[in-house]
Amino acid sequence: MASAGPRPRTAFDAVIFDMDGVLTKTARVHANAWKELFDDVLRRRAERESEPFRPFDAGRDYLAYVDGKPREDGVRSFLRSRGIEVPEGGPDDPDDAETVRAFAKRKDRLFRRHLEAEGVDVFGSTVALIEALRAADVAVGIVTSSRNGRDILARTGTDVLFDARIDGIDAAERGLRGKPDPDAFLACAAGLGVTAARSIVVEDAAAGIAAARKGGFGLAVGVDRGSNRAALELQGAHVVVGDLGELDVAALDREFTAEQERRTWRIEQEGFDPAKEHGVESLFTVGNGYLGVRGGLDTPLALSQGDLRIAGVYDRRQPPRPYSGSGAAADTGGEDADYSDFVSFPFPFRVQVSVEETPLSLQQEEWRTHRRVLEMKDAVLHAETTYECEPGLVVRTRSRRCASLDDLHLLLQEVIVQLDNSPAVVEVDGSLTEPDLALQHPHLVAHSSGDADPAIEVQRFTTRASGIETCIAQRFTLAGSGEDRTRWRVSAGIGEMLTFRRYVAVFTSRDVAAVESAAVEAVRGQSWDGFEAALEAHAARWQQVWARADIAVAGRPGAQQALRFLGYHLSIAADRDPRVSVGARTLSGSGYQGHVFWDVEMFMLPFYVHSAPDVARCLLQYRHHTLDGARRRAQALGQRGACYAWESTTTGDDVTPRVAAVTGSGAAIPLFTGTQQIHVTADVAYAIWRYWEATRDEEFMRGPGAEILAETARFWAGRVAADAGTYHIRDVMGPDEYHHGVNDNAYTNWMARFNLEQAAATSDWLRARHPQAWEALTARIGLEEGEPGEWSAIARRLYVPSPNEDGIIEQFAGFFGLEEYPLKQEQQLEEPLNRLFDLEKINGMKLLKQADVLMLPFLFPQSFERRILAANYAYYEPLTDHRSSLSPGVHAALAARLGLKEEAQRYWEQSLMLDLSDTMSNSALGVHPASMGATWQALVFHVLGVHFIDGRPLVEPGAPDRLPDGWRSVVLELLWRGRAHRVEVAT
Amino acid sequence: MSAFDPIVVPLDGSGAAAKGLRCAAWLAERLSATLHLVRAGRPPVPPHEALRRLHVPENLWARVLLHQSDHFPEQAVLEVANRCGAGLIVMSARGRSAEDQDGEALLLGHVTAAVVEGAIVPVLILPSTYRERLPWTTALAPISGEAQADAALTVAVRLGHELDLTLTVVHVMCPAERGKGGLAAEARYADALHHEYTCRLGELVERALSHCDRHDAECIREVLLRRGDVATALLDVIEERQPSLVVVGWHARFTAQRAQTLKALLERVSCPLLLVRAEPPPPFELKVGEALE
Repeated sequence: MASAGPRPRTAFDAVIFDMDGVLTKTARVHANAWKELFDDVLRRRAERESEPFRPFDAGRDYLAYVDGKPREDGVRSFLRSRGIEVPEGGPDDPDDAETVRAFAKRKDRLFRRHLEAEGVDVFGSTVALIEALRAADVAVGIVTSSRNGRDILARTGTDVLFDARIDGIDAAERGLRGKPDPDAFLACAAGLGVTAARSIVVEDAAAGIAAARKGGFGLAVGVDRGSNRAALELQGAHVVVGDLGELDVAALDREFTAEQERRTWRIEQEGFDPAKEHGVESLFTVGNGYLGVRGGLDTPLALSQGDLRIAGVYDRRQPPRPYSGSGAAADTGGEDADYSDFVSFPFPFRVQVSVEETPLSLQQEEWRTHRRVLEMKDAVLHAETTYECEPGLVVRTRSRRCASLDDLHLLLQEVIVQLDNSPAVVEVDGSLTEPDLALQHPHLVAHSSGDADPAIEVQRFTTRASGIETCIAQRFTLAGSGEDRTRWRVSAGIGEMLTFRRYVAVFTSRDVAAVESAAVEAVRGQSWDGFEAALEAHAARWQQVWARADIAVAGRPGAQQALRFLGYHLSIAADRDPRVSVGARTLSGSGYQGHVFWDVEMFMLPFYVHSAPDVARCLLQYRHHTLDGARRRAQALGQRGACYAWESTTTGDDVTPRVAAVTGSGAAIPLFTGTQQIHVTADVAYAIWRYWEATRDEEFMRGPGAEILAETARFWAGRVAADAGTYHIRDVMGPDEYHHGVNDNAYTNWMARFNLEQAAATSDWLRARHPQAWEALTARIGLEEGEPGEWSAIARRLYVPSPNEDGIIEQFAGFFGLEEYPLKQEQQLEEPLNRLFDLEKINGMKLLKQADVLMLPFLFPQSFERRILAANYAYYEPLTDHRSSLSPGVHAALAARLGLKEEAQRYWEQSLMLDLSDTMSNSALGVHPASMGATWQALVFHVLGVHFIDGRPLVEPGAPDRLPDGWRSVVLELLWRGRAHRVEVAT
Repeated sequence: MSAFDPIVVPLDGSGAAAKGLRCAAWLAERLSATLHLVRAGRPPVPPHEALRRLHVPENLWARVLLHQSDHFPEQAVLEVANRCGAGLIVMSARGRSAEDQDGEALLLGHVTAAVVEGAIVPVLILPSTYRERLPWTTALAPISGEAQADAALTVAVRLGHELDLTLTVVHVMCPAERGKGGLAAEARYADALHHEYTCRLGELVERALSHCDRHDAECIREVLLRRGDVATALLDVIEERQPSLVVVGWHARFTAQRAQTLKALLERVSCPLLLVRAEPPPPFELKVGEALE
């Protein structure tokens, strides 16, 4: 029955109790019945087979194999543990038949006999807790696998305590799977009208705790009536008590709330589907901005993409794999071909565990359970897997790994192997040698190591064209052995934990001249005693990150978790290397070949500016570091100054393809983004202004900032075309990539004007305030005295489309006259590749890929009065098919500003969940950091309406009303001009 | 040992069935697989007599295992396949039962239809327009992003590896097929199309290969992207490439409105079609978003 009563006075809505052993004192009765049954079965078998009789252990065997499970499952589970197979049989099997069904029937008869003889009682403390919960308006349910459940509840008079009940008969009638599957608990929750996430399960059986965890229940409380604590904890019990008298409603509330908070720091995967593995690898990337390692399994699948990527390591494109589908011939056409493709390195966490010569792998059928958890708070990826190698041989592996934030060159990993129920020989191979280097990592040429230390495994590579040297060195040990080696063979006993640990160090010739000695010394310098300390140092760094980057949301744990996921991935995407920026898919994937677009400057930078300004500074210094590339590009375009490439890597030269030849399609499609999306040049200037506004970092502005502004302004000064006293910018592509070769794109012209104005203002400031720096700049770039004045003059006369009589800004000259494109629902879903094929057709239509004009109020909210914003949103939003992952975030921001709450929330949640929901199934290529940045900006600057006045952030008065449904409050810190400011908004 | 061993071949003495036997015999030799012949629906006769009636060449007699059953043929074939742990069933689209029909022959005989619907292992169908071209050298596998197409590619790759075939993979983007997992469904966002589609198509293939060994996948020589109606586009590619074999995933239902593409292929192609059905996906849950609420 659905709960229709008042809202509970707790953070949770319901508690679901197991019966046997939690409510009723029937566990012993069950155990005795099982023992009588199995001892008879085992004795007969021993006599028949002339084997020694090993009786059923009513303690250990009961807890491990039958407790909490439906009878038939219990029979199968225990007999399998003894290597015994019997037929399933049927309902009419005679009593003495050796079948699962006959054994189960016998056990039931024995249980009833014991029950009659011994009677049944309840735990008073459990009843007291249930009554207290009911008094607090918490719904209460009960679940038992027992077909006698309803009889026992009636016999004990406790049936009236429960709002919903699922017993063995209900389960059979409804086809619910038994524990450890969560079906019965979920059915009970549904019967109570509550969600699993807001409910608590109380269980004494390990299988029941496993079911609660699989079902996603908010809290799993284990009741250990004796010697079962370890098993309950192993299955994931959040709390274990000896008796429910130890808990009251308030304590449950505290535990639930604490666990709910912990869950929002976690991304958890339960089960395993190889078809989803590449996407999961992206989500579970560990990194530190210097490097990133995708979240491949410890024993990777054959086609795993669990690669290591190092910021700034690029090489010439290699021929694609025949089966990769990436046969699209892309003409990079740039001078930078040696640095055009992001290099992947072998997976540095590879381990192969074998038990009794059976290699354990999730690709085989031996695995039973698998769970991976990314703990975002301390940036550690955990994995737990259970294998059943052969009947009765259960093996558990647990691992944790991280990319140290304390030492950016260091990776740490721990793998624990434990045998559940049988001694065996365990072999562990921790070698990092990639068996298919040429196929998997075609950019790399391997070299032999010069180091002869057998305790250290060394891998040395050089990229084929760019010639970057890399060394990966590791030490691998069995804890307590006092010895380092990569291959181990150990005889392990039941329950013995074999703990293997690994240090990996990574250095490239971009970091040091002698890569091998640097990597070798880095691992040699680590002590195994210091392993935990190294993890703690890493965690401490992350604590510092989160102190600035966290956004705390009360009321919507799903949104809270996703915001932390966003903060995690943006934080591992960048560090403090001024030579590199963040590629379109970060270090988490191969997508976009690691190329750098406008994403950092326009979407991600504010996150860094307000949480880690030193990182933001380095990201802008990348643009200074690559200024020569931008100068070369301007020169190639016949202009002075600097024109940034639409896609660039470490030199700044243009690596944008000119043609896309989609494999097997026969189509060679010209690409205009590289030659026409010149707005990226002004976008860089905008980012510099934004950083300057937030930090007043004069050192940066005097040097790199002023130089970039001047050189980009020079480019615009030459790129504009004068016509009757007005300047125009022609033959461009705006952010909306469905229209190429357009004139006077509103976004491009606005941004160019802004670039020119800021360059002129900065020149004036520099000349007045820092004359030496001004002189140095003019000398360095040959800046002439009159140039800043010329920039101002051009800015004043640069045509920037104004709102028409309806308040609408024309996206580019002639847009209003284009063919109408009525965007029907089904067309919105049409595959965008057709847009690529139909490039010219789309070019003549009013169809937008993403926000173009609307980017302006997104970036300059104070410059647009509400009427103009509303008119442009109403006009352009319906014309947009949102094919860019950036589009939902921008539209969410503006919808929020306009008070379109439902629309704002829909777009914002699309943007927020882009990777976690993987609705477009392309997170396998890496996560979408720019979308994350857009999501962050939409929340901070538009939903909350944060703006800075008098040296501190202010929130717009309407912010509480704009908070998404269910949010009670949001709290964050923003850095502004050297100080951290707390921002809090509550409904 | 081959993943396709043993091979089950139902025979009814018809010419179409004999073609199936020749194909199966070639496969058995190349795969070192055992051939299980099924004669059903008729009273059992002495083995040699049965083999003679089924037109099994004498040179094969020593290499085959004969099963005779008076059950319905489809039931007998599935029973034998289950009992012997078959890796593959080979049969013609139309045996006598279909050819005996008055008027227009059925696309699939009812026995074949029942076997392909009931079999859990791949079934190799020789369509009514089958033209024998042994040995096989090439294969073609369409991918759609759906689980059964992924399963088909897995089988195609394994078979391709074992038989040394070169494999062409083709994906047809069709707006009508959106929502089924292919590029049409996946392409909700495409920030830079030229990057996105090469990668996505590759990922579509690699995801389908998630059960395969890396070296098995080396038999894939090309991946094609086509647009338009799926059946038409596939028939065009088959006409262009003339593969020895087409490997197709399907939903295992031949009812009126289903398997339209497969029906079109059965009607038009002259090479064998290997039909593969998907197993249910393994349990997997990512506990994010609403799962926390």
